[in-house]
Amino acid sequence: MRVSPLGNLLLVFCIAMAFASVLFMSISWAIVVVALASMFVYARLQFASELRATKLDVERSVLEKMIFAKEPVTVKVEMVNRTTTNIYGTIEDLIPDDSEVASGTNKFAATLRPRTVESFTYTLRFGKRGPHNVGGLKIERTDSLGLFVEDQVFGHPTPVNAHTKKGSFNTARRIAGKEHLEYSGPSRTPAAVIREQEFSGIRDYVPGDRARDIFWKALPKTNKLMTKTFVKETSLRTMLFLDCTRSMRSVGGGASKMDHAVDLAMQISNVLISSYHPTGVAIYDETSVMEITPPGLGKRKFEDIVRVLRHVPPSLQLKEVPQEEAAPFPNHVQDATRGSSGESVEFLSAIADIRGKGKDLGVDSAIKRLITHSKGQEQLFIIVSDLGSSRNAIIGAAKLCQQSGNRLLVIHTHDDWYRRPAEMLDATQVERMYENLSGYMKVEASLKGTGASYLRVGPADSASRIVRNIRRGLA
Amino acid sequence: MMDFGRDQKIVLTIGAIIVLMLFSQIGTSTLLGMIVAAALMILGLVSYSRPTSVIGMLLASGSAAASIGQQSLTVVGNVLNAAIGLFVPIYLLAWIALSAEEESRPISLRRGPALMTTLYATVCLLSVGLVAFTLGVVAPAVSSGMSALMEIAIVLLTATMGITILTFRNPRPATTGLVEEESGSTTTED
Repeated sequence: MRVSPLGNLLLVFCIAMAFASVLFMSISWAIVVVALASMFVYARLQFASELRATKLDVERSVLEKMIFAKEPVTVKVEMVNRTTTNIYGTIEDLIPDDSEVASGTNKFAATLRPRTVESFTYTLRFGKRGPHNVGGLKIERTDSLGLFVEDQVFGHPTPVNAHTKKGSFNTARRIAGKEHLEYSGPSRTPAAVIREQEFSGIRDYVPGDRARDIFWKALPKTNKLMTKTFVKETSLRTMLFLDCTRSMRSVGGGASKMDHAVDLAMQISNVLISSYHPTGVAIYDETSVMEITPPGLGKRKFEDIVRVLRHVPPSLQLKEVPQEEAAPFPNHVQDATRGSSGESVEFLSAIADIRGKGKDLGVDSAIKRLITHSKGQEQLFIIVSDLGSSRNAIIGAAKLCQQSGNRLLVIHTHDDWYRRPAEMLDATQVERMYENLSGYMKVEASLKGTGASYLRVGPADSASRIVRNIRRGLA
Repeated sequence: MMDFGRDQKIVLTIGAIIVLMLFSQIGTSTLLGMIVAAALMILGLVSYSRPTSVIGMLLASGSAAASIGQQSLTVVGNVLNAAIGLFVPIYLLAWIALSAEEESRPISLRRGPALMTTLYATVCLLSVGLVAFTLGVVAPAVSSGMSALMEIAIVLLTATMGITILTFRNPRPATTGLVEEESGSTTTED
């Protein structure tokens, strides 16, 4: 409880009266002090009693079904004063730091009458994607004599999860009809679209084989009928892995890799679905796969993918480290911890230790499980990552795909391209960037050595450009 | 629950100032001070200006304190004089001045705070007598020679200690009400 300016004035006057009492040796001044102090005491006790007795029910609802970053969201707050007296004060519905009130007001002076439902509505605009907490309801209260002020907070914050920008969804819908991405492979399961029949081998004729499949040229040499066999090729089942590790989430002052990766994942998966690729999405961090939806087709599948992508954690604004202190090309966990605290280093070192002991962690283990359950069916894995915290896991996954005859495409969100693109660089920074790039080129070489495709992207690369580059064989 | 209108407050103000003047030695300065104080308070009440009323109240308090030649509080008659002629009118003026708002809230008298305040004021006013009585029992020689400064010190010390004790504790956090559920978007989509 704070004393208001008026209360302070009264206290100062009391002190002055006390001095006057001593100075003039008159007890009358002291009586004035007692009278004003009594008023002060009464006001405080009365106000404390009021505050204790206050019971307010608050119910907050977000009216929109889908919440997008940078788009207005309507918030409705209903309050019921359950006491028998009025509640006077300035009401404010607390909003998250990274959001702003788009229209209406979340702060106003009001009198809440007893046993009456009062409500107000305002629109809010979230600055970025991710989970947000709206509320609670703060009431700045003043006692009836204006001597004390107290802030009371009622109700619990309402958690809301904002999608990425609405424009990104529109882009996903738009490019789904325009762009096509096809990865064909042998299929043992019924497929929506059979791309072509691929020659597989020759075997002895079995009654019932089609005449057009008989290998007539072999008849004079072998003196028996042989049949050509084919396998059907369909669109590969595709699993898109989105890296949500600490390095991926960190923002070094420029664009957010994580937000861009979410947009790309959503748009590419929609392109794949529209090209009849059974597509699924998984998001993973250092220790586990956080959310997954298995490959599938249809309109509902895209909604499933969006639902999974909603669980992508928000970006982390890390403290900037001077460029000269920043590590050169990341070795093991350094990249993930660039600009972050010592705790992060310890955490990632611990993860590295656990990984070293052969525990099932990270994207390689997830891919291994999917390959095991695929019963030999060829699959395509797309990983969107900055090759920071999970670089070793991705290289491990590439080797695994090579051994098991699966395909892997790595879309690398190159960290340096996301750091303040408009900033002028000095020689040291350019050298560091060059070192980073040459380091990543080695990683690229080792990935390509295992037969994986690799594409380095920056914040300016749109999904359609990436799809076109893949189709042209640039990956 | 009490709700006084503006006119009633003006009447009470005039009444309190008259009582203050009755108990004080009226000189020119006192008279002038009281008139200005009454005018400011009435002006504050009429124009719903709390600061104006408060300034008037402070002026009235100062004038009254300066003009009432209050003697020792060890005598019952003097204590009654102080209580009726100074404490009650100033308390009343303070309440009127502080509630001079356009949308003044009705006064809800809670038993607890009212009792505690009455007890506080009583203890403060009787503190000198209580100390004198105690000293009279313990050390009679000291009791008879109680100076005005000592009495002032006792009153101020009691007032300070009382205010510290009574305002020491912060109120408990309010009941937070219903637990908020998930927003519409999260429930409909998941």
